[in-house]
Amino acid sequence: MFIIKYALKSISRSIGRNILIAIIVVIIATAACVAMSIQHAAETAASNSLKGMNISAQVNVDRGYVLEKAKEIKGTDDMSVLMPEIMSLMKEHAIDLEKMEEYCEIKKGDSNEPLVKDHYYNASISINGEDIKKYDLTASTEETTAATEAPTEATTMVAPTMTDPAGNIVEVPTMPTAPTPETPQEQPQMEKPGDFSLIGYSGYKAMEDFSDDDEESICKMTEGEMFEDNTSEYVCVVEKNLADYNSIAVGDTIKLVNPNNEDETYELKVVGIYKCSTGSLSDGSDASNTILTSYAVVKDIESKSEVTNTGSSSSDSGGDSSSSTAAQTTTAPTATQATTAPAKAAATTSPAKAATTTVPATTAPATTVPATTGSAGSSGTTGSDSSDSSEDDSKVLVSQFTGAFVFGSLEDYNRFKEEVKNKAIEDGEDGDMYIVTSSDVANFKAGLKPLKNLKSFATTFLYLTLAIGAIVLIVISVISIRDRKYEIGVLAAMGMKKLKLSVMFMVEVLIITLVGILIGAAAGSAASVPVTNSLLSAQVEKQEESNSKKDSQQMPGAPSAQKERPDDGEVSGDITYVEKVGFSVDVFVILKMLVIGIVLSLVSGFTSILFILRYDPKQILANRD
Amino acid sequence: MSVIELKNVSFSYPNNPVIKNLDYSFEAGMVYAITGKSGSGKTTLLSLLSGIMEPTSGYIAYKGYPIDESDKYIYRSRDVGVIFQEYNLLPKFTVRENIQLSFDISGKKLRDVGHYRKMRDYVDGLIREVGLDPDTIGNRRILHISGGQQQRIAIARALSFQPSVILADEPTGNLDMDTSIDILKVFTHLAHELGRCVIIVTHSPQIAEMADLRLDLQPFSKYL
Repeated sequence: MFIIKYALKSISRSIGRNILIAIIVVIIATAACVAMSIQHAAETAASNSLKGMNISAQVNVDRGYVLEKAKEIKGTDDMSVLMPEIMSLMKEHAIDLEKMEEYCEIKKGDSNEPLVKDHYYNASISINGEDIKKYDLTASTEETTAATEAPTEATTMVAPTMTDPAGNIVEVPTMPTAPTPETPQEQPQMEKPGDFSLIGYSGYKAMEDFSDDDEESICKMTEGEMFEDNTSEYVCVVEKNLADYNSIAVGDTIKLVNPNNEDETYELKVVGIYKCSTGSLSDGSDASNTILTSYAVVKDIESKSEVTNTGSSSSDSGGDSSSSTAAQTTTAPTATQATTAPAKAAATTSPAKAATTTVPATTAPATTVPATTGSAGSSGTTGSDSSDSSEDDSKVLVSQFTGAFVFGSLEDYNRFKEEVKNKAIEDGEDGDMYIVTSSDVANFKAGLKPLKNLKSFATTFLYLTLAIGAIVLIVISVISIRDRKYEIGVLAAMGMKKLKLSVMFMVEVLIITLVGILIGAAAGSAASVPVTNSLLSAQVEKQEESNSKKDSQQMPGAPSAQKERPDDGEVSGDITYVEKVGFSVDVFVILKMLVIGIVLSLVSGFTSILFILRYDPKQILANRD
Repeated sequence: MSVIELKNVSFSYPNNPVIKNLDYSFEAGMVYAITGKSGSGKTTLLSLLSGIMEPTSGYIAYKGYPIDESDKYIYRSRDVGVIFQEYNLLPKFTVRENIQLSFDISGKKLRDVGHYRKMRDYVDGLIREVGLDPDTIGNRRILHISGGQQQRIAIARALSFQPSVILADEPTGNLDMDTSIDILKVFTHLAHELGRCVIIVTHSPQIAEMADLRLDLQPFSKYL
């Protein structure tokens, strides 16, 4: 006990030197505490942010894989030869409602609980209006103005217009499922896209832009009411701009027409009008020219269109159509399948919702860019219909299916990824055929990047701090022991064992270090949040800068083959970076600090002991001067 | 009764033999004065007796048993009180703390030294024993007291744990004759009344005269 008593007394008698040591320890501890809290914040942000959050994901056919497969089958790199093979493979493996429901059957491990918490889907059709006009801001302006403004407008995709080689302004129809060049539309050239996008949702929850939370919701109902989930009645809701532009009121009926067959019309009753805070919906489509209805209605229209144009109904098992044309259904003619295949394949592989996010960034887009241009070009002119046998088929309205799975946790999502692979193998397909992507996860991971960068910086900084700290403490200990050689000699001559002497010195170092660590931890806790946040904001800025640099370096629409394919798909829209961390010092950080403190004390203490053990009291006393 | 014995002890510094085959037996209740010319090995002999240094050959026995490596610290802290020529007090501690530290290192309890009151009283008693006023200098640091006072505190410290043997290297070197005589009286009291063995190394013939036995150490001596 007297050892501790004299250690304390010794500290108090050499207060100046000990305060100096404590200050060094405080600085080291503060730096270490900030570094550790950054590490801790990065770790907890990763695990906490996704807690209780629903993750929405899509399953798609891997285009890159399909391309490789097609190359393997055909033995060539010629895209014109490969395209039909790609289309056929895509069609063969396309995700439809039936497949989606099979995925929903996957159970969570041994328990009977399904892995997929929820799922929803929609189908969209590109269609024209018979008694309503497309809402187009540029339509009312002078041609010259429109021509000069055209490039800007075109890039925003709100009201795209282009000038043809003759200098005339031609309208480029909005591609509902191809909002960005990265999502190529593999529609056959003969098909003419419509002015409007008629989207049929499986239910209200499938409408991402509508939310019960008024603050979060991008779109809100302003008049009337939303139609009932999966109603088979021909009802719809339209956007306020479109309603005002065409003087549509709730209760009115709008007439839509197949862009490729003027005789084929459908009447929908407007039951509600909605308003969007942004010009485009979350899938990138022009909000004003999007008409919302139920999935059943779109599938019904699709069936009817097939009957009208080909005289037979599709055997699409995914269509829970309420169509009464079932009686006419036999088997789908081969010709129909073959010609509609590309459009369908495109539809299933570029879901409207995740279109911009989930298309694998491999070489596939390169092949499809001309298709988009061709499509735009042909519709921009008079729309010369192809005169071959597929003429009738090209008139059929084909819906594009988009499905999303909802998971309760990141583990479920990761598990699902595995299961999709297993299922593909079980079904005799290749495990790499499908990819599961989630813009939620991709965005989340991208959002964490600055924090992760900061974490690696913090880790290096921590090691450096500790190394410097250990060296400084060792040096101070050695100097201190040399200064106190005489004291050691006296105590040893008085019969104090070297072990006790060492313990006494160790206790001194430990007390000083612990006090320093505690003050440093307190200072570090107080400083960690502002320091972390300011470093983080610098990192976010850097990240944003490098992102914009990357974007500007990449030609719009150019293939992004060199890009590494992300695991969870590409990020969509603006990334919400984790820019702020909360209180990031917890009991574990403090405990870690204490352990570090003890280790540092021991390191410096043992150095002292080595010196003490070497000392001979007689020599010390003899060499006093 | 023989307390401490030199058994055929030799000691040499590198290339410098100091003591050669020395045999001697120190008795309890006696004051010994070791005299000799400079370099005759007086301080070396004291260091050997205190266990700080070890003989090159031969051994030192305490109460009949040789002091070996294992109990050297116990011997130093409990059985032998050393008063160094340079006092060797700890400057940053106070007078009381220096004395108490020595007592604490010995591991003895107050009852072992026949004291049943507070430690402070015991320490103050020791300060008085060497002729100082504990109330005046008890809380002063060593740095702030005179050389003579330091000498006395060094003696008080050596007495603190009531060792059987007291070794003093020039204990009166910095003291005037009156004080030196007072200190000698303390040593005589310890030897004659309390049965301790007091061994003093001194240059002073007067001090040597006052001892019970004067031993003159010759260079390379075999006998005292």
